[in-house]
Amino acid sequence: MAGYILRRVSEVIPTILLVLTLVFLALRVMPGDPAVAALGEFATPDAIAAFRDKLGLNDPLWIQYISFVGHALTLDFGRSMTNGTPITALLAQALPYTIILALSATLIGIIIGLPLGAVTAVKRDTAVDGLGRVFALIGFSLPDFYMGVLLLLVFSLQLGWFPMLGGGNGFVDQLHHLVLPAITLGLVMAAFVMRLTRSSLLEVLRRDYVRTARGKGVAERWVIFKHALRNALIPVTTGLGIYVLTTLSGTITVELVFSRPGLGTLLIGGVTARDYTLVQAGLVVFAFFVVGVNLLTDLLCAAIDPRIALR
Amino acid sequence: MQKFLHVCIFVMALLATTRAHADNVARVGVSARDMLSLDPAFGIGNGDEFAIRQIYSTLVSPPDGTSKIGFDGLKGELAERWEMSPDARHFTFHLRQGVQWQKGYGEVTADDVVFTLTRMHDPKTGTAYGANFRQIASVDEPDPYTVTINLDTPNPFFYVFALMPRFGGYIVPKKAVEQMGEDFRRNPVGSGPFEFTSYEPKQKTVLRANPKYWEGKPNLDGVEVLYLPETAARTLAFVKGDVDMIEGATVPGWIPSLKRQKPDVAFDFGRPGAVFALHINMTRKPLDDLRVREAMAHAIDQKAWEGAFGDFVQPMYAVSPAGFYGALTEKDLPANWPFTYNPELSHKLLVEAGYPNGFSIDAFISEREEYKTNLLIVQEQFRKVGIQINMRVVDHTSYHADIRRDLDSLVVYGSGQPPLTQAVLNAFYNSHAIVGKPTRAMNFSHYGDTAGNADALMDQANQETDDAKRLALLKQIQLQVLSQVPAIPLPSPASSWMHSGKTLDIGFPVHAYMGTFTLGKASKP
Repeated sequence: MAGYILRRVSEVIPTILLVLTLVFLALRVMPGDPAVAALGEFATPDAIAAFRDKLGLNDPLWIQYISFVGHALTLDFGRSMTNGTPITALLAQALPYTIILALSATLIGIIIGLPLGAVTAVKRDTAVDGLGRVFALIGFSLPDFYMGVLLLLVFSLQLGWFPMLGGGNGFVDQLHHLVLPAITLGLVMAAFVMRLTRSSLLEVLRRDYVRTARGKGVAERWVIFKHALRNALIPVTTGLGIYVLTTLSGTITVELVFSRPGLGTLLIGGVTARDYTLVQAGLVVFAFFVVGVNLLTDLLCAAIDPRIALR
Repeated sequence: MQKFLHVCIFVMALLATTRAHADNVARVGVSARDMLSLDPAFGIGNGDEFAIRQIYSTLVSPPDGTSKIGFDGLKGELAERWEMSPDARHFTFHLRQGVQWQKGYGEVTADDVVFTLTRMHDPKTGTAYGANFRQIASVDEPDPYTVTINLDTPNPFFYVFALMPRFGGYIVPKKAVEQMGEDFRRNPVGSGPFEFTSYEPKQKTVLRANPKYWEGKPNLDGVEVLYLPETAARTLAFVKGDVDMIEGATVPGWIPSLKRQKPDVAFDFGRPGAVFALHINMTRKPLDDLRVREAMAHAIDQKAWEGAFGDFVQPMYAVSPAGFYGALTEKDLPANWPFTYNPELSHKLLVEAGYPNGFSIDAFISEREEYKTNLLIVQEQFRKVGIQINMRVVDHTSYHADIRRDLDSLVVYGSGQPPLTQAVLNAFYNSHAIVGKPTRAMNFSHYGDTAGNADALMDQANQETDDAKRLALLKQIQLQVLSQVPAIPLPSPASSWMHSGKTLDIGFPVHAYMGTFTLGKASKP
């Protein structure tokens, strides 16, 4: 297992370097000028040139690249090009909101999706199964931004139960602000988990060892929870890992819809203002997340099924 | 299960109740994604300006809620008296004594004023407003409460460009700026009604009442400036009551829709509004032909904007909107004015120019509503006379970068200018401002190098001390410049603020241009 972990971790390094290079190049080929965005319409070409010089934007590309990679690997992202705030402070402020949102959505997805998937598999081709499949279809069909606006209009504007904007102050207020964004993302995730669990469990329920267990007279509940569901969870865990990444991307839209602080809001603002340092840092952190979640998923699968580590 | 549901509904109702803002803080939603700088030397757009206006004071300003810029009718802020020399080269300001800087930085003195003006004048500062201060030859400080600004050339409106709200005219404390350096933009210290407390990136800037404000402690305990760039989010938050005041949007039908959802809404239109025009790049074919440009001008009917935006927009007859010093009115226009709607004449001119079937032209435009909507209306009107605009929408930052690289043929440009026609002429029609030149880069038509030049007349108008002669010169320049159709004036949108009379009373009617008012006299009923 230790060898497996070491192998997987070493595979992460070239991925990170590739991501850093792509992030750097993508921003440099993007049209627009951070100096014009930061100085506004009255800026003279002289002021723009001085601004670019101060931020090192007139340096050769390779010097900018080496400086960026060096700083990124030591997690020193510098300051925002537009308003000079330290990037680490911006990330420290935004990241908890995004992580909590993604985790809450995942939790909602698992709490709703897993039992629903198991029930619909066990009650295959019944009314319950039909309802579950309709739920999954709706979850997949409605884009998260649409779902978000819908929830905002009903539960915030009409009923007044939830706030419209921001992330809240203090634990209770933050929780209050979290409910609608988490449900928006969580319902889509629940649909995904439900379908994955259902198809995986149906597959396992057809296996010989399940038939043997039933033949031996083991109680049906025991067969499902002890024998079938445990094995059915391996593809669900892998799928969940991938879907958590989709949810992370989804947080960008949802943060915008709910005007909520977070990595997405930070990134969109950075892209709009061509704040290279901010966008670079945001994307690098995002990439670290993706790589980290992938690694965690692999390790979790190996823990559930030790044979994976031996392959 | 039923019990659980009841508990959930009870908790939600409770949370909804506790959420209602019963405090004495005004929440203002501005159309900006973030704060760029709270140092007035670097603040741009309404997102920064609204907070900056609350934190700092200027020497003088238009009376509360107005755009009146007459020298004798100004309101004294840090200055209690002011004089201009007859040759308009020397401006003397006598400061109010005892005005305190926020956060214990001491008394506001002439030292701070001299420091501010010197800083704005110094090219090394890198402020975008530097051009407004270039005329300063020296600043004298005969005593701690008197400042005399000496200009190298006469300019009776120097104070409008450089000393009033919006264009870098706020006075900053020497000691705080020197002490904090770059950090001053995130930790501002001023002498205005509210002082800076905190900033949450991409979310809000929080201010609290300045108990030592020279006009008396504000009624409000504080102001929160919330960054809400999306019109829908801003509007919904206002309708729900999460914010007390929002910045308006240039979206057709937006005002009637808001009125339906919130009947008690008060609309404050700040006028004169922004200067909008379609600038024609006269170096490109077929736009280098005057007949083609005239045909384009005759194809535009400004009434179409009134239909879409109602009271929100005002017609613009020449280079500046009504309310600007030196703006032309309908009766000032000659009979052969090219900006009268006449599609038949437009078609005839196109035939004469060799385009009987019209022509098509590529243009890119910013994704921002106020830009895109304008070009869409223009596109539809041009289509009726056979001119096809192949429009490509790009993001706002790219748009501003690319038009300054002279890449566009038709540039829709909206700009908040000091309410002076000479400011508009200098910015858009002076040859020094042609894109690509190292001075200001907002002359997108290339007028001055192409189709005529009015630089000398503009200098003369800037320096003229006789009001009647100056107005006559401004009229002459506008008629001369626009006869070549370097740009087509588009209706001017007001800067608009919406608040509910039931939740926020600003203390005076707001008709000030570009959100240049403070909440120092505001209260929450």
